[in-house]
Amino acid sequence: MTEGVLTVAHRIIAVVDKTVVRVTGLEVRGLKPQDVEAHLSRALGRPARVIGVAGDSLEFDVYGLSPEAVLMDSHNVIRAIALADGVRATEVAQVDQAEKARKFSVEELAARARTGGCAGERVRL
Amino acid sequence: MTVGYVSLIPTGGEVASGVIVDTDSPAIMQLALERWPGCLVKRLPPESDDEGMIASSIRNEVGLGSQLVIVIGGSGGGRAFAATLAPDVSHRGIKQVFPDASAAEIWGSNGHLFCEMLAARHDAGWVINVPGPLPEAVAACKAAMDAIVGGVEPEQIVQRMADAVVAQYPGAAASVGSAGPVEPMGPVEPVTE
Repeated sequence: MTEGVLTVAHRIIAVVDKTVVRVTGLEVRGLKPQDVEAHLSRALGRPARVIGVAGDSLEFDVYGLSPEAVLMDSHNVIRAIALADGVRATEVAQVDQAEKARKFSVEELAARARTGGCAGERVRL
Repeated sequence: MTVGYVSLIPTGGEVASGVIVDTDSPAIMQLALERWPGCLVKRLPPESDDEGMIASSIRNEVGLGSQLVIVIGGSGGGRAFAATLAPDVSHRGIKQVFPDASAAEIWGSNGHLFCEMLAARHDAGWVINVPGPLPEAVAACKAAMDAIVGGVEPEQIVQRMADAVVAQYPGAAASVGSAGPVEPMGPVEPVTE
């Protein structure tokens, strides 16, 4: 192997149909992400996966549900999140964004992997 | 192979600050104890998202004779994909210590590097990393531990880990287009996010 060059032996491209949702106006402390995932999945009827948590916001993926559907159900989303231990919804809690992921072709992904890694784009509604 | 000393290195500012609870470490500890009942499992304090600090912790544990060092979380594209996400640097921390580690990458069709998992062999044992979400962390660890017990090579360890993680994605059975290796892309430059 050439020094400084990494040979990747195994690369998988997972085809995803998901919407990325960001909720702000929260107070988060001592959260177990899987608790929120369970409440969200129950509320939305679709699998959800928490991908990012900060002290005042939470970002999750929901699979097989459009951004429009998430936004229409935003009250339910916030209520579901607030059911989990370790998170409280403040009076300004809101679904800040719901975005459908843009789909890249395998060729585009291969080019990105070669030239600089992760730099996905989202289509914002 | 019997493992007598396992080191867990959880990462992420949100874990270190207590915003989220580290549920991965107890689950991985359980996996280790199921396989190697007599082993010492050491969970280090969570590291912030700093590749130098992570590399330093790995070096220390390897130097202390840890036979299996597991770095938890921080394995994806993170902030390079979206400004609101954490900077994921664990894989780069491992590469600092083991530049020739074997790697497997999982990319979403949305252009997001979901995770990059590495496996490196050292004199006393192994260093691996796993993604942060609990089901993925557990699946990757199970696959890695089974592979290590089976005596397989690092390239196969990361392949098995990647396949196990992909199987955890919701809807993966119906929607994963390529659960096996895609066309070889040849050498790639180290990711600079």
